[in-house]
Amino acid sequence: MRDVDVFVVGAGPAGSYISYALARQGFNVVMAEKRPEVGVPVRCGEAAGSFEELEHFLPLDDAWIAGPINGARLFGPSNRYVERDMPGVGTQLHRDKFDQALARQAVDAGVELHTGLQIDGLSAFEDGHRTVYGRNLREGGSAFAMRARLVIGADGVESLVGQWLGLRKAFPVGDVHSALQYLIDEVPAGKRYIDLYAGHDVAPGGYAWVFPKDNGTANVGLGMHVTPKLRRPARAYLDDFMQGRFPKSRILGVMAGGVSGARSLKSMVADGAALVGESGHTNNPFSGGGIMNALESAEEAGIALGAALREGDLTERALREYPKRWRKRVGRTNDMFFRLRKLYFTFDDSEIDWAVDSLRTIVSGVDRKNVDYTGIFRSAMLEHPKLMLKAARMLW
Amino acid sequence: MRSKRIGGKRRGQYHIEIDHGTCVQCAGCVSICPTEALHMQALTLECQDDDCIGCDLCVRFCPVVALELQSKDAAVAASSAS
Repeated sequence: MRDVDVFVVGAGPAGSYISYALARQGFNVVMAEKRPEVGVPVRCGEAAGSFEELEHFLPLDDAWIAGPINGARLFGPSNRYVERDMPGVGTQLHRDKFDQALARQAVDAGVELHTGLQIDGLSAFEDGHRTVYGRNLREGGSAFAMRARLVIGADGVESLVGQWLGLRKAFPVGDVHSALQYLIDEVPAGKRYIDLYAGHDVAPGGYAWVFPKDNGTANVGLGMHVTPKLRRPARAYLDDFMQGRFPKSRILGVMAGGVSGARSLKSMVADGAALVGESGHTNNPFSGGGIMNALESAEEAGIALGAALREGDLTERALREYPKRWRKRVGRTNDMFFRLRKLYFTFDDSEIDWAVDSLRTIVSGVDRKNVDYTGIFRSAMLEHPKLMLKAARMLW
Repeated sequence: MRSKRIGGKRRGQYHIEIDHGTCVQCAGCVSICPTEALHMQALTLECQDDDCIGCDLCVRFCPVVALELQSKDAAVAASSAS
């Protein structure tokens, strides 16, 4: 059986970037992707950070950039909205090309990429190694096994590696959002703002989005809270939304998936193993966004795990430096967003409208360098006393 | 047939009918299933009916409406009718 330093499961952004980071430090890295081709099919809203933020991880290339994001509008249930102009605040991606470029960067740095390789299990940590077992889907399911000093799970929202390691379980009810997205045409890009729509008629416990891409196309989708009380599937809500706002557009593609709104994991590492990206619950639990977070977790992992590999100590204790760094960079903020999402779940439509109006007050106040927080607090106390109680209970 | 009580629901009495033509293999149902009855076999979704407790969460979750919960008796009746 072959021995390698690092075995990475999953060739999404987190998997490709950690592979690249460790290969650049001179380690022998093998990366497995179960799909026959990296990046396909896309399962993503494809909105990411600014050009500068992305360039930190990958040289910019028009092939994977659909355009800049210059601002955002948030619509409440009664269609009142808050608008903020933020030129270049984000980037609309072609995720398939983006993932492929990240994987190519890894391969160019010496990473050995296997596509069509499904991983079915891994052994316990013995003699400083774990063995990874799998099947080669290209070759009629021929058996595959490899020994690695460090196994990294980058296998996304339905991570199996995390379950095998005992680091995560099935999601608690309500922590996975049901998301559906159409790629549609006939959408004027306008100022290249992203539009978000909240409200119980649009997407209960979540929101709908319109992200303009290029050539008049846009990603239109929604994510919603799944509870035993949910009466209609995401498709029914999205079809209603389309009918109301883009009746003339054609649907060019359908994407679906679970978006995690879960809190941070207790631990992202085990003996000889670690989780990066969404498999390690790095998504923003409120927005569901996770591309930049995944890359950032992979960067922190690259630093901490690279050091552990050099030291030769890959026990859980030695790897803890990685989650520590992650918590400091994003994890703590994510925990706040988790509580915020819990609070948002309890909002009724009038409270969402109040939140949108308050945001508008804040945004216009920030532009004038003078925010009327007292007024917002007063309106919360007078018009939505229940909201203050709920907030107090959730946030403390 | 194995029939175990979990949380007031009986195992082994349900069947999840998967419409493979509609399923987009997003595997969200796999991550939401409380009993790990749903899993991806290579790139295809499968359900281990013996583990299903009929909680219906995956059906409500499925964004493209590819899943249907059937009780075992109904499934047997349907297959003998066709």
